[in-house]
Amino acid sequence: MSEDQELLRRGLRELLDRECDARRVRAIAYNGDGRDPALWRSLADAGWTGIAVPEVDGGAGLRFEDVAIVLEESGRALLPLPLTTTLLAARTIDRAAEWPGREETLSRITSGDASFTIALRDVDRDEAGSAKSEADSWRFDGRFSFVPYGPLVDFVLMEAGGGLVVLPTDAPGMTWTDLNVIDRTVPQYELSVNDARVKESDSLHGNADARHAIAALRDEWTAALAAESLGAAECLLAMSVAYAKERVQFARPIGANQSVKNRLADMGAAIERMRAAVYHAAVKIDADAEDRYLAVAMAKVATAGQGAWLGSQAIHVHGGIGYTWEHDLHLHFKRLKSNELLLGDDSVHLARVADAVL
Amino acid sequence: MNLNLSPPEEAFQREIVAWLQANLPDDWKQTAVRALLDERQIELRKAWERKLGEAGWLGVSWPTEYGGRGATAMEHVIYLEALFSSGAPDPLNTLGLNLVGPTLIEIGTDEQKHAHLGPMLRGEAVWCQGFSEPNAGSDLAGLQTRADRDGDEWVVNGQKIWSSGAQYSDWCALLARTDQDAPKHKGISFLLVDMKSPGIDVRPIRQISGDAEFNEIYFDNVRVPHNNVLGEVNGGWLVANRMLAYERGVITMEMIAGYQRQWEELREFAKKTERSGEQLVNDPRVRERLAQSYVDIQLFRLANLRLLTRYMRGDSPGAETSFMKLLWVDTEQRLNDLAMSLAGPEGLVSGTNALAGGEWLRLYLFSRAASIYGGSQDIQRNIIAERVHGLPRG
Repeated sequence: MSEDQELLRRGLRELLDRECDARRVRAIAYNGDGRDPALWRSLADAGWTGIAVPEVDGGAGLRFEDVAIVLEESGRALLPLPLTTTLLAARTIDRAAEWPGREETLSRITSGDASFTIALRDVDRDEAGSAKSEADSWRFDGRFSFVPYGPLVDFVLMEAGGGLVVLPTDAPGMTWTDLNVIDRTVPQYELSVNDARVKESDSLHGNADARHAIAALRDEWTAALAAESLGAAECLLAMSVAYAKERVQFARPIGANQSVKNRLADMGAAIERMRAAVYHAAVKIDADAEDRYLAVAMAKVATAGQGAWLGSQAIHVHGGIGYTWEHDLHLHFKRLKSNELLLGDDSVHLARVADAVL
Repeated sequence: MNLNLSPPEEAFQREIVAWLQANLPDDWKQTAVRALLDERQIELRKAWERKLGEAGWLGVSWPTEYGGRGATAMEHVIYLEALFSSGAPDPLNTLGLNLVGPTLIEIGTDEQKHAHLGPMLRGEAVWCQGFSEPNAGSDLAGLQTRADRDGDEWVVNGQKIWSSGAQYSDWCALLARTDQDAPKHKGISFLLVDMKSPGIDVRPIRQISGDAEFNEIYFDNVRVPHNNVLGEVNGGWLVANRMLAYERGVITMEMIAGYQRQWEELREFAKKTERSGEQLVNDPRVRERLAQSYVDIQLFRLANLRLLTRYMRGDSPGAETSFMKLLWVDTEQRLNDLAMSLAGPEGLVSGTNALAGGEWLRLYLFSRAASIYGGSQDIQRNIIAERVHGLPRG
């Protein structure tokens, strides 16, 4: 970790400690309508929405290695706003050099005036969708499950007609249904698209082959979930260690018991693995390496089942209070469980590893 | 898994790979060596280390002024991985080259450096460790082997145990109590002991594998020159801790290179073996377990590289190295459980005619010791809990 990266980490942590504590997270995600324009404005004004936008386009031009650190911090704080998908969309749009809307969209992302979600087709779950050509546009039908934040954001970066298109989330023909998933800090929606009009200028790559762009986006998204989980797991370990020191039973802190120590040590070892895996995947993504997807699959394996396991350990160390709605633990636990199952769990990614190395 | 190598690192890699191709005969490869009788194996491995030494391929990470190559930690990893993937015999003087040598360079006297570094670099002196005792295992500082001052010499009496390779070692890094009245951590000295000294008796311990890698060493009025005290008299505990910190840096990389080699053997076995008319490698459960072990090994390797990179920047090895021991054991045991599972009942057959020359069975059994040696899992967890997490002592 370089000094700049430490500064980056500290910068976001300070902002989130100040403006996105657990009380605020609950107010937005569990007791509110999932929006917080003031917090999003703070993030944008401090430059966080533009970190992945190149400097010439008004952003900070940071690499994925740095983005991963930002996502680790937003995962630690359980930031309940669409920073992850917005940063990933910015990277994909930045690479679509020919897209006429590129500069304007990047500039709006940086200024905080355009937030993004992502809708990629899950081959097991979603309809393939169909596209019908018209004069300078086409009509698209399709259905996507598990689209984060859905109508709470401004735009969706969507897989359609073999490419990637950008549409407003309130475009005619779009219907959003809240799926009521347990992690309210990242609400998931089903998106039905019925006869939506897609202009040529909405398509990032025109008629060019977009498969590489879609694969890159999917890998980056997977790595991003792994980075968030790393942060959430670190937070749970810190909470558990603190609790083990202060909770007294039999006239001594419970953390003096070896069985509790063992659990906390094993949680630490799991985090070492997660950290190594996440940063490695980030390096491979920045290098656009041939084995990028293998590094990404390993990062998902390190954080998926292990993340939820770590969350379970944290609940256990806290005892009964850890199983209450009132305690903040379950918020992180639910993020870890969600990130385990979204975009493929351990089995899915172990199968990818197997296909790559066997 | 490829590293992202810099141009100098790539050049270093080309150099060692080319040297190995030119200098490692087929009948010296580990697959051939492990089929030999114990004594012959040791002879061959010693001869191989002398050959490495002659060409300047021992102590690669030692500073150049001490005869090393001044290799960075990353280059050392490249060196180890090249060695293992070439099929070279397993390193013999791991302790001397990776632990004792660097500790001598750090705190040894000029005389000690002069006496010991050269022979290590030439592959002429193999070292063993005399730390553990029957009543001082995890509680190492409770050791009772004593050394009493007599003029310019120390007289050593006592018993050591679990000393790997003592039966063929030339020197021993010994911890002995030199002040009977001081608190237990403050009365220990670190002695460099010639294994040819009169009064030393080495007795191999037969392990559950049937092999005898470990030994007991008995000391009966063994005389050691005062100049062979490494560091301060009664300051041996600190010296030992300095030395052990090296263990979970580079030595871990040596273990990992071995796991990578074994994993590749398992993959090849799964590809060429049929069960019920179907290739083993097509069984989804086998695929998942092979993939899991692959991920274990690579992530352990990456986590350890992260730690090594920090040392390269000047951080001292600390309690975080205990995490690596936890990952080490999980990785090794899961890999070896998989090996036996792939082998099926044939995996139970021992001897040089057995599957992989009996190596899988031997490694499987040896992996049971992984959670015990080098600081047991339980001790490592205590260290993490108390020194990393700051939990109260029990």
